[in-house]
Amino acid sequence: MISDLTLTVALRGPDPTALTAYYALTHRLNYAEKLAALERRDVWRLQVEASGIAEALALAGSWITRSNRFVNPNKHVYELAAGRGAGTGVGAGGRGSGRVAWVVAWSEPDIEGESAVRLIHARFGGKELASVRRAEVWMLRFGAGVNPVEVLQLGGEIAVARSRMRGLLTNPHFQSVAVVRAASPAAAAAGAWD
Amino acid sequence: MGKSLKMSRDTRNTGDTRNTRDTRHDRETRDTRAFRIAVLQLPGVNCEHETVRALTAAGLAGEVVRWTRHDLDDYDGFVLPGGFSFQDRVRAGAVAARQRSVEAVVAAAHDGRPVLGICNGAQVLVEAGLVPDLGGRGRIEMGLAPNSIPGRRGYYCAWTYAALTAAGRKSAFGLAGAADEVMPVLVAHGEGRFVTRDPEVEEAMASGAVVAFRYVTAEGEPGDRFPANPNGSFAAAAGIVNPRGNVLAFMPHPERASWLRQVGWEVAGPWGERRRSAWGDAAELGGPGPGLSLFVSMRLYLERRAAKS
Repeated sequence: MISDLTLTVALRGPDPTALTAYYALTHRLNYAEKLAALERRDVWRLQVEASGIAEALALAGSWITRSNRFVNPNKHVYELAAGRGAGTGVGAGGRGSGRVAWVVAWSEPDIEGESAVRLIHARFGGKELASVRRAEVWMLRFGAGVNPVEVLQLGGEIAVARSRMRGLLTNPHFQSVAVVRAASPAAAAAGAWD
Repeated sequence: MGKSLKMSRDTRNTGDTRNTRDTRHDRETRDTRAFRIAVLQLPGVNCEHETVRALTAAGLAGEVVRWTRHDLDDYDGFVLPGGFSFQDRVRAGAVAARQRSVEAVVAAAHDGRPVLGICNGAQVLVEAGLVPDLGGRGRIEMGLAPNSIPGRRGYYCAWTYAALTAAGRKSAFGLAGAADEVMPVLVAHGEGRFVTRDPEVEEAMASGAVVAFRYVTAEGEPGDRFPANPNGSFAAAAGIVNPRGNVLAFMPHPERASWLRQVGWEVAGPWGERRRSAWGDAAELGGPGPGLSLFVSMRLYLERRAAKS
């Protein structure tokens, strides 16, 4: 049977990419009054052929720790959970806030996902890993001055780069994007993909 | 050692706007009568000095200028060099394109002055909406996506071959290039695949209207597939130009092929033969390489522009 697993990955320390994006948005794109915080996670969906969830988790755990492909243990922390959209988000903020938008960005074709499948097949043999998808998930927390009903619209503005001074996080010519409300990065990715 | 480190730190802290990174070679070889070209040193670029030397060899006065400067309006043109501006955070070129110093590049582009983006510089120009800019409003009309190479991912570095197109010959960057010449030139990037989801731009790329250079085989045949097309670029595009012809986003590195000695031993065709036969001949090896024509073209364009005005 095929089991869906969700891997959420975060940096152990401060995330320089998120900090740089936050700085660009607040200092160059005029979101200083609105955007309070920005975080980022990588979310991977692994489809594993195994006799059950326990075996699928064991196989995936072995690939993750031994391949260095999904996670670098020196700099990442991660959470592997069974099911689509499963996982708490490795400490991601934004839970319980009405002013949080999640921006889910992924590439088509998914070169990272396809290459991960090839690598796992080549290095570990077998074909248990059926497919991999990867998304970069951004958590945008807006300040108290922002009306909660505007959150998704503001997230959409920030998410898609339309011009030099409009939008930042994704380029619409090779990335797909969804802006959603969710409880965690994994749930946001599931909301975008399913 | 300690002194130079301290100078560097002081410069960063005070926002000093002098050209502190110019090498002595850069300063001593600069022709003060020549057109002045700003080579924008965004944090993380790493080809600025090679670019200045190529500009100097072409008869232009290249100057490394730091991205913190906001007084760049007087330059006759700009080159955005290769490297990893802002460590490619968020997306290659995305953060750099939004810097205040890039406003001067945008103004120069609109003013008709030549603007050349090399590799990471090309990514900045795309993210700044300066190429192809069919609408003329600075909309981001394309992207430079991760390389699409059969069986592998990520960064790719190799000699490739590029040919000037009809659109390129009319631009500020094709005035010195031979129409039928195959230019061996290095690529070194992870995100070099020109793509678009805009039908109008796709049509302009397919028809060649905005493609100034295409990847070809060593024999000059269309380079539709890897390895001739090293990244899967749509329409085998190696360089995209704006309709006016004064802004070029070029993914290969012409500054790494500006002298014959830089041409790889393994390069095929006339340039490779010339390189191999020049073995041991320092004067011959110090002669122009295939990439120099882009910089010479910039000078010719500026001379024509000055003559008109």
